[in-house]
Amino acid sequence: MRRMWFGFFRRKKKREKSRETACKRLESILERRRSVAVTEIVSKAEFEENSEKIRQRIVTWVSDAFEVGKERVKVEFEEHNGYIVIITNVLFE
Amino acid sequence: MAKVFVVTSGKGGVGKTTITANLGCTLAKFGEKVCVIDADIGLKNLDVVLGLENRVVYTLLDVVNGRVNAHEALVRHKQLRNLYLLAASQIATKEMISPEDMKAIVKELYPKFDYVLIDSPAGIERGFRNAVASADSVLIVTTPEVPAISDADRVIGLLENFGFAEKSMKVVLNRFKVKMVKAGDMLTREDVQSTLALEIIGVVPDSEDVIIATNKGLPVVLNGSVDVSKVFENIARRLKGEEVSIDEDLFRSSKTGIMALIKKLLGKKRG
Repeated sequence: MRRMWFGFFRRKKKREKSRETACKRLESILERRRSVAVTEIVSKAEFEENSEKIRQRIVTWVSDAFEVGKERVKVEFEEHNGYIVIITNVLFE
Repeated sequence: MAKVFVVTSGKGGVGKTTITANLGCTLAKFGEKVCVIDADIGLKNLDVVLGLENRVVYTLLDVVNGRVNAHEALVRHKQLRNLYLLAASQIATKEMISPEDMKAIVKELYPKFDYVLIDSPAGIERGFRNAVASADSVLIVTTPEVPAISDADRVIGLLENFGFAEKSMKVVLNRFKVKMVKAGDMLTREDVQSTLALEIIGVVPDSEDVIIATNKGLPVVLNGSVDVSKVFENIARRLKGEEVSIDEDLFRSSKTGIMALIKKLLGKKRG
């Protein structure tokens, strides 16, 4: 009974409005989002022409970054929904 | 030469097609020659919203395949004689059309029109790339909800990568509920603007009239809803380069009082 009495007069905690929650969530979603790395869009023909050069540069970069031999890095290009997806596999041991 | 706008969003179901149809109708009402293109291949709806689904003979795919030219595939609106639709095909897929095809179609159309509005599909895949390929400016439609704004932000990033300048991208805030904003339960126009960091070109209030109009196959601006029509008129004026304060949009939807109540009651009876 006493608890009920005090509970009645206790200041109610202010409920957060859903707008404030939405603002916070948006901020955290957009903060976590990685920026799009694309700086230039090339035509399909240009990509096909230079695909071997691109493959070699990726292989070199990955083998340096992970300190593995170039023969252990495999790079493949696939087209998905109009975008080129670069799949890189590294065989460590 | 036409001004070419693409209406896009990222998230589906935010009202791209409704905005395209109503803006097209409003611009046509202003005497502009307008062509609306449905780039949502496979899930076309623009013809349905405009009430022209039974008049479509040729589609975008017929133009791409060279069966007819772009002008022959156009459908003229029943009431607005200077509004034309280039419909999408329901049986085709987005992969059957390339960004280069869209560019060629728009290039063929734009000398004959004042405005070309392209209704983009949801998502950021091929259909989106097709739709934006030929546009000079973008209207990004969003609702004041977290998923829609988050997707709109993603789309803005992609559009920047495609070379669109900040000036050429504008936001249309759709399904805005003044009552909820006042109660602190919906994001405000300022919240959306600061998150997306782009100019808001229009705030369209949430309205039952839009649903009624869509059911009838008549865009809401032709269906007698004064408040929503006025908002679309404001947006169309801003697209034309006129200075119309954004507060005009909100003023209409925030009206309360006895007259507004009577108007609402009368409106409901009419509907």
